[in-house]
Formats: sequence, C-alpha cells, structure tokens
Amino acid sequence: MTSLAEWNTSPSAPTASTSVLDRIVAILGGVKEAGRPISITELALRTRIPKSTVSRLVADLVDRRYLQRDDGGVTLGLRLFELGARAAVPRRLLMAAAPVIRTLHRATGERVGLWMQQGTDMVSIAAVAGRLPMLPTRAGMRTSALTTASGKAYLAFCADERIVRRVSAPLADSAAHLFLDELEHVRDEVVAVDRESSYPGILAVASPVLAADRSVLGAISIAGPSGSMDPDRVTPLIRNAGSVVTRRLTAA
Amino acid sequence: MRTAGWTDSISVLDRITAVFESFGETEEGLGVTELARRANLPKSTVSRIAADLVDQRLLDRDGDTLYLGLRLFELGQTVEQPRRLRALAHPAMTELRNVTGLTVLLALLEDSDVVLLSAVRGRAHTPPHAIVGSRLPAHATALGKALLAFSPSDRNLRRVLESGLARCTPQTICDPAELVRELREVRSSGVAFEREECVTGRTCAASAILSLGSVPVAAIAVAGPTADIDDDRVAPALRSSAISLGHRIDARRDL
Repeated sequence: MTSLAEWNTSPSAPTASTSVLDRIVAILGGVKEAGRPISITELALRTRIPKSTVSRLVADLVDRRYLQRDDGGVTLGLRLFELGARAAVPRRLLMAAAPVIRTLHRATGERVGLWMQQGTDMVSIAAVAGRLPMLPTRAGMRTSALTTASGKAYLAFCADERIVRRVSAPLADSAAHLFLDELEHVRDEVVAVDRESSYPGILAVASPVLAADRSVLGAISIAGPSGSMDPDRVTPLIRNAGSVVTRRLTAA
Repeated sequence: MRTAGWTDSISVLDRITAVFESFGETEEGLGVTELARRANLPKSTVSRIAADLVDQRLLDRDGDTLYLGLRLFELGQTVEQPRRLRALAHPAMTELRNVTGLTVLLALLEDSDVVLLSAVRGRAHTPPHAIVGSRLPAHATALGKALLAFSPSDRNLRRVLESGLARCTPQTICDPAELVRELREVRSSGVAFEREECVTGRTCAASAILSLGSVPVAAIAVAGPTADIDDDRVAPALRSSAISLGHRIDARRDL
C-alpha cells in the first residue's frame, strides 16, 4: 500500500497549472479545517485560490451534495458521509481493531486511538476518550506524524523512504539524524513513545499495525497524563494490541 | 501534478462523481475495467482519473484493485449533521438493541431516499447487513415512511411520488394512494412498519425523531428477520426512544 502515499500536504500556493482536482481537494480540506460554516471569501483566503474560482467550484460542489450551504457559509455535505462510510481500507482496519480497542480501553481507562497515515499527518480512524478531556478525540481528525507516537510507529515500519523524508523535512540535520535513530529504536522495540512533545503533559505510546503482506497499514496508540500513566505498564499492552490487530487483519 | 486532458474539462466533478458512485453500496474493490464499465467512461479516461484520485487518496489502491479512499473517510467522518446525530443517538441505540436484541438503525431523509447514518448490530444475522452510508428508497422502508409521515410540508412526499415508487420486493408499496393512506396511519400510530417491502425476509419498524415535537430530524428503527419482530413489543420501545432522542436534540441547540 506504499504507493498510496504520494500525497503532498504542503500548503504551497497553487500555481496556474494546478488542476481542477487539486482545487476541489483544497476547497474540501479548507471547509473541513474550518469546523464551522465558512464563507467564500474566507475559503479563498485559506486556499489561496481566486475568489471567483472558489465561488464557481463551491456552487458545483453544493450542486452535487459534496458541500451544503449553511448559516451564510458552506459545510461538508452528506455525499461525503455516504462515500466515506464505504471507504474499505479504514473500515477493514476498524473492524479488525474494534474489539482490541475496547479491551485496551477497559483495561487502562486511557484514551485509545487507531490511525492511518496521509501525507505528513496521521488521520484518526477511531478514538475512545480516556482521562484526557482536553484532547479532541474523534475519527477524521489529524495530527502530525513527526511528533506523535502513532506517526513514529508508522514511519519506523514504512518501506517508502520518501514518506519518511517528507515528514522529517522540517528538521535540521542533527535533529533529522536523531529522528532516524529513534525510528531505528522503534523498529527494535515495536513501540514508539511521545513524551509530551505533541501535547504538554501527555504521554502516548503506539505500536504499528501491518497488513497481510507485512506492509504497515497504520498504528494503534494509547495516551494519558504523563504523571500518572505508567509507560512500563502500557508498553507491553500496546505492543500486544498492535500484533493482535495485525493478526486479525491477516486472518480476515 | 499530471496535466492530463481530463483535468481541463469543466465536467471533472461529474466524472469523479461517476467514478465514486460506481463503487455502489458495498465495500468491495474494483479494477479499472469494471470501473470504466460502471461509470460509462472510456477505460483510458478512467485510468487517468483513478491515478489522480489515488494521488489525492480519494481512492486507495491495493495492487490492481481500487477502493473508496482514506481521504473520503476523513472528510466523511467530519460531516457535521451525521456526526452529531450519531454521537447523540448512540446510547439510545445500544439500549434499544439490548432491550430488543434486534439491529438498530438511524437514518435521515434526503430527497426521495433515506441515508443510513448508523447501525448497531442485533443478535440475529439480519439479511443482508445494512451498510452505513447507503441510500434506500424512502417509500420502501420503515425509516422513510416514518420520516415522510411527519414531514411538515408535502414537498418530500411529492418528490417520492415523482420518483416513481420503484419495486424492491413483491411487497413494496408502489401505489401512490396506498402509500398516502399508510402514511396517515403512521402519523396517528407514531410507528411505521416495513414488512419485507425492501428486502425479502426482513421486517423493520421505525419512529421519527421529532425536534420541538414536530420537525422530523432523523428516524430510528429496529430491523430483523420477520419472525423476530413482535409489533406490540417493539412499537412502545421505539416510540419512547424516539421521544427521548427528540428531547435530547432540543436540549442541544447546535443540532
């Protein structure tokens, strides 16, 4: 599945040669990120697409139910829900992981998450809230692959070096070396740790989930307050959870 | 980025939509040849579109097989109305499943279809599995009839009648007069039934979830093998579930 990852998240200004599809994706992404009804003017600013173009594309997208008009702006439309609910790979991963997520949550009371990689981010496939009410926990949200435990668990097992390079691009040389060393360590341990580098006060531990062909498909993670969640206790639990989901995916 | 001819066309969105909708109501993957056949587009065109959609992760590729992609999942999970309704209804749906043992469904009405928002599986193996995200004709489903019966204007009913009342099974109500008569009954009883009208062997009962006591927001249903549905037992459970969900929706202004 490594060929999937050719997606570029860099928010560079679209050039004249930018395709209609790029613009459509940028507009849908802009509406998603807004998290509330967003006006054409604001959408044009966010996506750096000319307002007249945004206006025309939004009208087309509303017409075909990808967007809907709401409170003086637009929000994501029902067609995206219909299509997204039928996306096979996330669903397959979710089916395999659901009982594992439940068991892990029951055993620890902490936040448990299931993730897939997209561009330089990890996308939440499922999330169960734990003791961390301050963290948004819901499927569809994104976090950076560079600092999160799930991102590092994924990248350590990712066969496509271009993805690793793209994610670690913001790092200076020495930091990039440290990052690669850390991924090496994650490969040995089959567990990645994020000690408060993504969110202050929060410790997260994650383990990769592999597809039947042994390519990495995503990661399962657990997160809790860094003072009170014991890493020595959750590390073997999350490592085991990752391998159980992997086994269930292979068996399915 | 590839600058293939198809991207210059003003009908990019129509072609993309044709490709997406080719995947139908299942989660199965498709090859380019089958995709082209279903989308009614030249294979070379579909092959280019698919490559671009894979780049954007609007499609996922596994070898030669294509699937609806992670990016659609991500966007789909973020659509406000289904997300909020699902979260709000989930505890009531689980309780209704535990009380009845039946599969519990949540749907809303759009045009002449119901869109399935959420499903909590029952004990029995309901044939066939209802797939979240799929659309079903309103006139052939308990969910649709419950929503139509309480629609404040007859615009929705008119659309359904104009859609032609297609036959799904021998039991489907295809006669407009009969449908209107049944909707009147649903309005007085508060519960709509679907007796093998959508899928042979499956019976379903539904109640509309009303906001402010009158505006249908969504509908909740129980579904199972015909032999498992006891009208007198499911109707009161459904009605009370729908009423308490209506109250919860009104308590949350943002829905």
